[in-house]
Amino acid sequence: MRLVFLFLIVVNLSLFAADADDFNDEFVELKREPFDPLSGYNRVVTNFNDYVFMHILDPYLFKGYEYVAPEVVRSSIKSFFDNLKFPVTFVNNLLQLKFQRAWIDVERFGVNSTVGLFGFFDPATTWLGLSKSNEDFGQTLGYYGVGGGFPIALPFLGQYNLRDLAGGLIDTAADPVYYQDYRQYNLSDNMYESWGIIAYKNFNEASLRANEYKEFRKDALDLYPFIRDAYEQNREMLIKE
Amino acid sequence: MKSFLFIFIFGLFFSLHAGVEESVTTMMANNSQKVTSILKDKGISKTKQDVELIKLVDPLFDFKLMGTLCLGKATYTALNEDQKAKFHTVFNKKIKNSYTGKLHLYTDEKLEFEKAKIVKDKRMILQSYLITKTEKKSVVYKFYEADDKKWLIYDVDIFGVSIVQTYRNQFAAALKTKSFEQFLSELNTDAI
Repeated sequence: MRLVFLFLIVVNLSLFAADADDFNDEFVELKREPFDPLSGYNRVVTNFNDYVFMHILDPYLFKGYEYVAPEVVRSSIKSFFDNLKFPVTFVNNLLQLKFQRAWIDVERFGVNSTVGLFGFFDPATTWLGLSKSNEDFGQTLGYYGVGGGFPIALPFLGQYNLRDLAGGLIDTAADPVYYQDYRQYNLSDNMYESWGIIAYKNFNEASLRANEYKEFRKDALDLYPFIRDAYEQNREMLIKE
Repeated sequence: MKSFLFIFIFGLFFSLHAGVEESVTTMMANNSQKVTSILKDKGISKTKQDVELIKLVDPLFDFKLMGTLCLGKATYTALNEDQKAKFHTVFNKKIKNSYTGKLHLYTDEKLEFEKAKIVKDKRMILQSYLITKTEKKSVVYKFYEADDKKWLIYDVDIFGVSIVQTYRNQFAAALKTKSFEQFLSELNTDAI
């Protein structure tokens, strides 16, 4: 009895023992310089993307688009494309052994494609509390321990790393928005049409995030490393989820 | 008797920690409602809204500690008292503007809180989710227990991106090539 008592006291003390001045330890591990062999190119592309965003997209194209398509319409269009992405999230949930999440994906797709009028509405979330998965093959690779590799910024598309770029290319095999000749189900008749749809999908989504981007970029002292760092931290969280 | 004593001491120990998580969670949920009502109040100007928002969030954060962490222990301790004071003034202004700016982005969105969790001695995390029309985004508040037993926020992970870590990386990179005074003057202006 005395032993058990002593043991519990020791466990308690060690659990709550004061470890003073350990704040720095919580942040120090990420402070290393990242491996970034394309940093010169990435910096140019990031500045180009930012210029296009701040001087063309935001003041002209988004403004015009917002005038013809209010936020509620743009959100519905995003929901439609999110719903179409079901095969991607479903397969990646299975590959990451998240079977419960995979089943929720099936339920969401069933409900939103029917009651949600082809996915333009999201009653699965609002009525049934079945929230959306955000899984892709980049995260699946990360789940199995594949590192990010080096960062790559793409014109118009933004920040990636080698793993997520490769993962994104593999995801296109299951995503009906991307035209694949060998596949039965395609949203478009050919690759050119498919590129048009993808460009529109990205444009619509970016218009919904325009204010977010403008606000977050204010935190940057130097834009490219800021975006690279935020991207890596965000992806790390998504992989851990 | 021994069993009674054991249960008493064991229970006493945990009762000291129990309840803190609930009170922090409730406090943050109440605070979030107040933030939303300020943001939705169209009767006051944005500047006035910002003043009200800062009044609300100021007691929740330890901005001085955040600044120190962003600079890193080695850099911070190498500064003289005047430099430290100047840095805190500039950093406080920057972080408060940044935080209120982000609050303005999410006027119509709801913030849902899970119950706060003590993760180790004097550290607690509060997981919350920002519910937008099409997304559910993670926002994690990190608290520490200050000397006066108050729980204060020392970092926030917004969509997985730590405010402290991100500033820390940026400050370290800037100070590699710039003097402290140059760095401070850049921090004082919107750099890009």
